[in-house]
Amino acid sequence: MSQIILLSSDNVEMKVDKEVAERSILIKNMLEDVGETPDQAIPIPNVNEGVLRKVIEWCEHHRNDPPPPADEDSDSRKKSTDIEEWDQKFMQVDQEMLFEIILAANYLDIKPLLDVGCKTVANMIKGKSPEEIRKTFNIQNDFTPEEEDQIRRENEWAEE
Amino acid sequence: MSTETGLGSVPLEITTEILKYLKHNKEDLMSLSLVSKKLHSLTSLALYETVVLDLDYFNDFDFEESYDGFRYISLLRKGHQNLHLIKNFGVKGNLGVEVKPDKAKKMVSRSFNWIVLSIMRRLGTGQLRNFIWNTELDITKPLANELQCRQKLQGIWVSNSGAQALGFISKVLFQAISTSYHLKNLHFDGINEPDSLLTLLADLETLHGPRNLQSLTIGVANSEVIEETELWIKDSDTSSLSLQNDDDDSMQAVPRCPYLEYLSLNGVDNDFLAKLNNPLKIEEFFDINKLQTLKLLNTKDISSTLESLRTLPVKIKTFHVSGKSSIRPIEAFLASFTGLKELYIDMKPTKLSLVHGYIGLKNHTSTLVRLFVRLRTKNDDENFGDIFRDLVRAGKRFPQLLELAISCPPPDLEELRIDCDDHLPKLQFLWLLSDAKTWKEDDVKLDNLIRLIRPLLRYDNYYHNRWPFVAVGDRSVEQWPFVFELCETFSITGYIGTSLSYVPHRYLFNHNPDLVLLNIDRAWLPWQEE
Repeated sequence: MSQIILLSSDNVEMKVDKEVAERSILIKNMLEDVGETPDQAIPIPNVNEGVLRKVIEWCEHHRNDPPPPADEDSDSRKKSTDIEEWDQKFMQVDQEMLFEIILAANYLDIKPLLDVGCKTVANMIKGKSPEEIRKTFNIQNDFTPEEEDQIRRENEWAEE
Repeated sequence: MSTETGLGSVPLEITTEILKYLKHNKEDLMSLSLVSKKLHSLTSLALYETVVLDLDYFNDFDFEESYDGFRYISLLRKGHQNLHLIKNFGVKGNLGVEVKPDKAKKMVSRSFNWIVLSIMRRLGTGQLRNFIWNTELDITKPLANELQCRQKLQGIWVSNSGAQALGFISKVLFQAISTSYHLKNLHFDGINEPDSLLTLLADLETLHGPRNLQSLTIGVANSEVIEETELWIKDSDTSSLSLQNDDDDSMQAVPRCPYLEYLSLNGVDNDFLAKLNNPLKIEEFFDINKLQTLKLLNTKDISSTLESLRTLPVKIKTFHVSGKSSIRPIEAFLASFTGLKELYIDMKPTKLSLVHGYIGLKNHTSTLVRLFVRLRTKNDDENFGDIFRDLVRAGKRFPQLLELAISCPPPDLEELRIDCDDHLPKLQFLWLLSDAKTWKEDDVKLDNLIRLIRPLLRYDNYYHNRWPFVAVGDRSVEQWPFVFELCETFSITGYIGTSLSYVPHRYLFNHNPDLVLLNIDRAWLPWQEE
């Protein structure tokens, strides 16, 4: 099994099975362009050691997953937010890490990991009031009371 | 370097990705839009993309007092910031039974039309993409005129849910759409006036638009409409209704709707189309190479349609058929091509006598993703569960099959054993379709139902929870206990499918918070709200 070396943004080298690293479409394409397995480390400038280790852990676990269907079955099932058990546990990290993983998945082009991350965030939003959402994600309320009132009135039609 | 990575600061594309999972939950979108300015502008896109007013809500409202507190009024607020985001607009719901006096009905109807019209007039002319009218109320002339101005309208979805009420699609609507060149989707279901049906069929010929049509549904509310229309054709000897091209040789080669991918005929069978003055052959209507989905629903006789399709190079991926017909022509049709991904058969054949065996499924085992077969036979011993089991026992694998729905009467529940690891490696949804009317008195007693379904649940566990759910569905009150029993079973944490559309979802969720309810309804719209 051929291995490659990834270099995190904080200059830590990590040896990974090529097959595992190729869960990332970015790396896969990069390796295809080079043509042969490179001796030198591949720099991943946007991802630090801790996050990269998590991402690799995910890729290890899902190394044998079939490729996701290309834009098929975009029906009701797709919008479901259920997450398989292993992934749920994997995503039990602090929020900073959660969003770092999402950003890394986006950068490295690992669609299934991006999906799991976004579903996790969506589940954290579900059923919460605006104030609870602000608290959960540490977001400042930048509305004036008048603006808030205006939005509330405009959106009334959607209330149950 | 920023240490604050969070919902408030991630790039736009990530937030948009997250919002995709909340798109159908208006409550959550409303909360999000009040969190911060940035989230407000993002969630508004999703919140306002589809606005469908619910007539049921009008029924509960007393307009005689005042409009105060009427929530749809909020859309008409002066200086509303987000109306320009609406892409799909329409109404759904019917006048409730509680609205009895005609005066009240008229009041509701008038208020309703006024609000719809007022909102329509506030939308830019090129803004509206889809118009939805899933209600028994008639489309008024001013509203149809408004539609006529919508130059970029791509889809019209009209269904009156089979209700017999104030009227249906008026000629006005057809006149309105006949000038639109952008139309890609036309769906008319539940037509309950012969006049509307005839106008629609005649207009399909004269419309300038349907050259670009990609999907088309024509459905009637009941067989009386067809009968009345037939009488009308017989009596009137009109030449205005003709679906035939003029005898122009250069025109013959090009089908009428060359881009049509989806065709659904509900209650309008070939028998009927043949009675028109100059019947249009099905292959003159569309390009067989383009057609992906064919639905022939509530049909009496489709043997000649299927016969003619058999001689063509069919490439369809989805085939739905329902009604009263012999199973043989369907079997012969399915045996004539390969590559089907979705098959839905719901028939009442008198006898299940097959020629090719296995309903022609052998051709499609390697590609099928969804399979729904319900055959109601006079002989209780014959059902598709047996055929399917035999097919699997004969060594046939269904490597892609995700969803399987087969008829299975209660006494056979315990009999059903399918080796899913080997033969159905991807199966996630198993539906046991069961018609409660055929059940014996003992079968519908709660204790018996539970006794029968339990072995399946254990069976489910036996395979290490690899089957996320087992569901039983039909539209009968007797089966409610089934669904509730399933929902309360904590070993089921994934999906439960049910066609019990009138069971409030939230009520089900209360029993088992991990449960995701998958409600499959026949009249599916791409943006249908949950």
